[in-house]
Amino acid sequence: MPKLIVKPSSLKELWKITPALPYKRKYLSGGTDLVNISNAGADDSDCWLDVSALTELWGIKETKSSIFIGAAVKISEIENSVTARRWLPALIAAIPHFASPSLRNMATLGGNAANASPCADGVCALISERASVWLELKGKKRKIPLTGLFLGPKKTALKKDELITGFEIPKWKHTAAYQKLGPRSYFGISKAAVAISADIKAGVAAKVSIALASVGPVIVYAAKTSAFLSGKSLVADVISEAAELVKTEVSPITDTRSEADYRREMCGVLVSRALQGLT
Amino acid sequence: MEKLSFVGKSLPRKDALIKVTGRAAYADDREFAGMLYAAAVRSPRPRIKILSISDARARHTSGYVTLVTYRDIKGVNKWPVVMQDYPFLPEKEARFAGETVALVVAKTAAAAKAAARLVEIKFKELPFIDDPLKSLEKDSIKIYGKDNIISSFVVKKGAVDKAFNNAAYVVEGEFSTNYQVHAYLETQGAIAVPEPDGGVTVHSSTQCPFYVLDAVAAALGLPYHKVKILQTVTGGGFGGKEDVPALVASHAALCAAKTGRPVKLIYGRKEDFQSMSKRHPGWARVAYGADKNGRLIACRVKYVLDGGAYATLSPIVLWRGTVHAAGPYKIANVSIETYAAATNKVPCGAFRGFGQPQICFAQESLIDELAAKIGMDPVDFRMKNMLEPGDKTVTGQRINSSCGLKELVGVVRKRSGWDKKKAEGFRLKAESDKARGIGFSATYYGVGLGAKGRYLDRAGALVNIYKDSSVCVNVGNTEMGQGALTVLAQIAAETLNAPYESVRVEEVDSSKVPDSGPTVASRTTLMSGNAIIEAATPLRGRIFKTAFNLLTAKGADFSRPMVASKGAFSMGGKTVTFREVTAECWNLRQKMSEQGWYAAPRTTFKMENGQGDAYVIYSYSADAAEVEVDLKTGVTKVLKIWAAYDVGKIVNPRLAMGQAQGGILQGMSWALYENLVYKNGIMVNPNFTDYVIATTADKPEYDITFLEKPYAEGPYKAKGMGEVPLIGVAPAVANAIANACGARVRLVPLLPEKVWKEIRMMKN
Amino acid sequence: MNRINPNGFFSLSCFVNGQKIEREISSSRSLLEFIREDLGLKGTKEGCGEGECGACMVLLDGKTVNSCLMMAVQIDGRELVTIEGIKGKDGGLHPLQKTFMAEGAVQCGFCTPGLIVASEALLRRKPKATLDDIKLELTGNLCRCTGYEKVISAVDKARRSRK
Repeated sequence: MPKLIVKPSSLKELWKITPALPYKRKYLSGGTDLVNISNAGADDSDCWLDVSALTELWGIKETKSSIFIGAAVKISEIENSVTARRWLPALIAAIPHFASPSLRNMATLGGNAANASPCADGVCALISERASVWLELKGKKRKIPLTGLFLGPKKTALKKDELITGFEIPKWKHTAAYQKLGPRSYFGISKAAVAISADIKAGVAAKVSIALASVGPVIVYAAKTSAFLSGKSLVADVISEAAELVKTEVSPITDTRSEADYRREMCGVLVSRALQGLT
Repeated sequence: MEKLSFVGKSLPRKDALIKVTGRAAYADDREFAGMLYAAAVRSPRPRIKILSISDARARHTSGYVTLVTYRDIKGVNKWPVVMQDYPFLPEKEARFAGETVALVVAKTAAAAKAAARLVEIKFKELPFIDDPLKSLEKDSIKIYGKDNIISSFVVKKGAVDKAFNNAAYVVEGEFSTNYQVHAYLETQGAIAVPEPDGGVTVHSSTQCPFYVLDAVAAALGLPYHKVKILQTVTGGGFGGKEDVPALVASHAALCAAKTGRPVKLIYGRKEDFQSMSKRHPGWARVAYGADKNGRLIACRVKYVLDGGAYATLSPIVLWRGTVHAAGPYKIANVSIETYAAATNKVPCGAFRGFGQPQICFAQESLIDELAAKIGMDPVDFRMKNMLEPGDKTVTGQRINSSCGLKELVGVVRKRSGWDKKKAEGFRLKAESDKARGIGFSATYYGVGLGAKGRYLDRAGALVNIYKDSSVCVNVGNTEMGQGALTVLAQIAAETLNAPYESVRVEEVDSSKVPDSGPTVASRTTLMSGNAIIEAATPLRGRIFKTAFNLLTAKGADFSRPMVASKGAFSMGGKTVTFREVTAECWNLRQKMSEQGWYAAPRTTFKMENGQGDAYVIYSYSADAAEVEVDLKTGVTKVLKIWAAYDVGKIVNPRLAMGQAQGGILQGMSWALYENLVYKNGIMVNPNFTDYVIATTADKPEYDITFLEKPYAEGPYKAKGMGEVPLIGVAPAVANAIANACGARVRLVPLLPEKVWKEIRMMKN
Repeated sequence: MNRINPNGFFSLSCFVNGQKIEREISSSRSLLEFIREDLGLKGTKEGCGEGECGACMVLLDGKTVNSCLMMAVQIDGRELVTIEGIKGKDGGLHPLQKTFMAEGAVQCGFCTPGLIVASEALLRRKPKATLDDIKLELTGNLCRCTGYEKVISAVDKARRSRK
């Protein structure tokens, strides 16, 4: 653990106190990743900034054109949100596969994104929902597509002290599916997972976006497969073509969790099952 | 049969209340004034020559007290377990990544851990071996003795080559199984408290307090009577707290001896993974031969266990595997050769089943392959060849009347709907990606330590009845969750006719009972149970006589027999209670405390040829597993397990059911999920994130039947229970997968990747 | 308001098992250390230190959390319940404690406090929890002894007894 944990109660206070705090600094949100790393003796920070009291990072808000989820919103809050249930079907479908019930009471989407794991179920679902992420540094805000946040495993485009404040997801009419292949029925890191969001009208997919977890250095947005499917009717031939195509968009590796060739094949299986689940 | 008051009843667990309220004091829950905390400094590489160990950086940690190395060992630097090859702390060479090289003592646990990370080991890397089969090759580098063989056994019977030549059907296959981590929820831990007389009291989470006693006395160079081991409430064992707690406790004791203060040493989960014992990875080549009528006539086995860097319990684990390697069948011609090979990895030891599950997976899978080749139903094939009373095992031991194997198989066959389901086989629906299948296995299990551990197979008990009639029982075997305190209290209550509520069995205190051997091998009910009966029998004589006298004095009609039941004595219309009777015994100054002792009968096994009686008695099991295989992903879901057991008389049916369900799930979890990975001699996933075990969501349905074949020598005719339910699960699941989709996977865990590959190969 | 002084101490104020607690603590104290070492509530266990096993589970504002992955400062102003605070209406045993004992859901007992805490959270939230709800809710509580069957039936029996 670092010697110092600071708990500012507003963003204004955060930016005020930050310069005087010892560096290396990290933001503490739910703690499920950061405290874990620290317990293992693998965190070298001098200071953590607990962001859980920053009200700016709370809540799920709805505007005319988009949904905003605060970075410090707990996963279990999303699960119970009427707004999320109406507008974010991929995220809702992913939640039962997100860690365990108690970890969902602790973990946040902000932390899930900041950790930049290629296995992140929440991020995978959000990318298929076409989310953007709001960042703030010393009072300066910027918004980038969520896919742009990740540079590699555990590597983000965040600048020093830059904070994820929330996620903005455009409101678009869509259904979704989340398919995950883990080491056991529930509660495990995926060997491969896929989130698909699609606007389907009379059996034809108007817009499709597919994201995959654990099959590349970051969450993979399957642009070609998504584009291929858009405007097509989801019949068996189309689905199997999409399942073949998606295998060319991923770059899985062999590690303790699974094997590269298996993972690649599973991307096809999961995509085809997710698509079948949509129709 | 006599009517029993307490044995055979689902009486409440003695330790349930303190456990549901959170009051049970496990090792880490105990505090002592002035206590310090230790943390281990571990070898970072598979095999190193230690050049120096320095605390120059560590000593600046706030709260730092001292560094403990082998130089601080006043006794002998050899842990006294089986082969005596494992130093308490290495002097020149550390032989596996994670081995404790030194210990840091500090004022807080966090400071000790932080300082331990700053201790610098200067070392030179030495060449290492991480593959047991390569270890046995002639030109391998030698890391253990002359040939890297920790231990080796044979069973030789009949003329095997000739029998295989004559066989109408022969099958052969190579099988392997990976590690299994005990994953007891409480990690290893001990507290050593120095005593004013120079002795030490050790509070230890352990299955085997007397192993801890041996080790602590050796490390500190103390006579045994200055060392006292108190078992703490123990949060699971499964074999993982058989030998290694002695090492942990010795380390705590060395730190306490050096500092003169109580020292607590509690393992983190990662170091527990890296350094504590495991189920051995196993490799086997098995061949069976049958005649044209489907009778087994020959079996050849080569079985290799990955022992790891030190012997620990490998020789005994291997021996149990050797004896049981051919399965519970009548086979006239047998050749079994087994080896425990040294590697520079974590030393493996005891785990529920003790060398049997690995080889059982191989031989019970192959039995199915043989039945298929002959064109017989695998259950019919087993029925035709299995051991029955009067038959001889492959070691030439005659099976006595306490053998219900055939009935078990019949029960499981019927309850599981085997005949119908088997016939349906390959239930592939065109539109579905899923296929269901059913698989079978049958096993036997020698209860107790057997011929290889015969010198340890004895147990003591102390039964003490207080003036207020409450009864305290001390035994040398431990409660680790399995329910020993409850079952042994039932046996004591039954023998004394004392109310169950008035009997308390204490956690082991090594100063109160003689060395009773380890709490392993499903031996506690049998050994400690019999020792309690021996202690309680003279007390029973006095109590029953006094009860009779009291009843007579009350004017009871003594022409009628006295009935003792549920803590009361009645005769001819009069009744006295256990309390009244024991008060009278005390008035009469009768001896109300007795010690008991039980030693297992002799076994005749000869190590040279593997022939003779290996164990005093066997328990038996039959399992059927129904699975659903996802043909596209290779994922297997176990839907239901039917199991039947003959473990003799069941002392507490509810607890027995819990042992069965827990054992089955451990077996299923090993069969499907648990995959500990080493890469270049380093454990890659020493955590529950990537070494996953079954959760509530993975639990199958259980259908469990007990057939109680009485064992005359057992306490109230009981045999042994704990390990039996785990052993046959993996092959039943593997056979079910083969039945579902034709994929024969010869590797445990039966990972989706492997099943998927088999399915793909069949398609191509 | 940031109540951490320059030395890294924090004046923590929270409710634990219904009692108001005010303590000066080191800001780097983990919640599990605070519970076990500062408050001496030893029923909450450390099984893995990585949020995987559930032995350290406690209720924070009525919801389960893994106390090994939280810092004590994070519970400021909030309400914590540990196994020691799980009681029946009469102050005696809680229905879950009774059914865990009666069903034989306890073996080594190390996971038991966490399981009871998790089950309590479920039954508060879903008084009509089905067997599937129970199975899914307890996926974060590893038990290596029981095979879960009796645990699930104990929770189900406690649910029925609440009616």
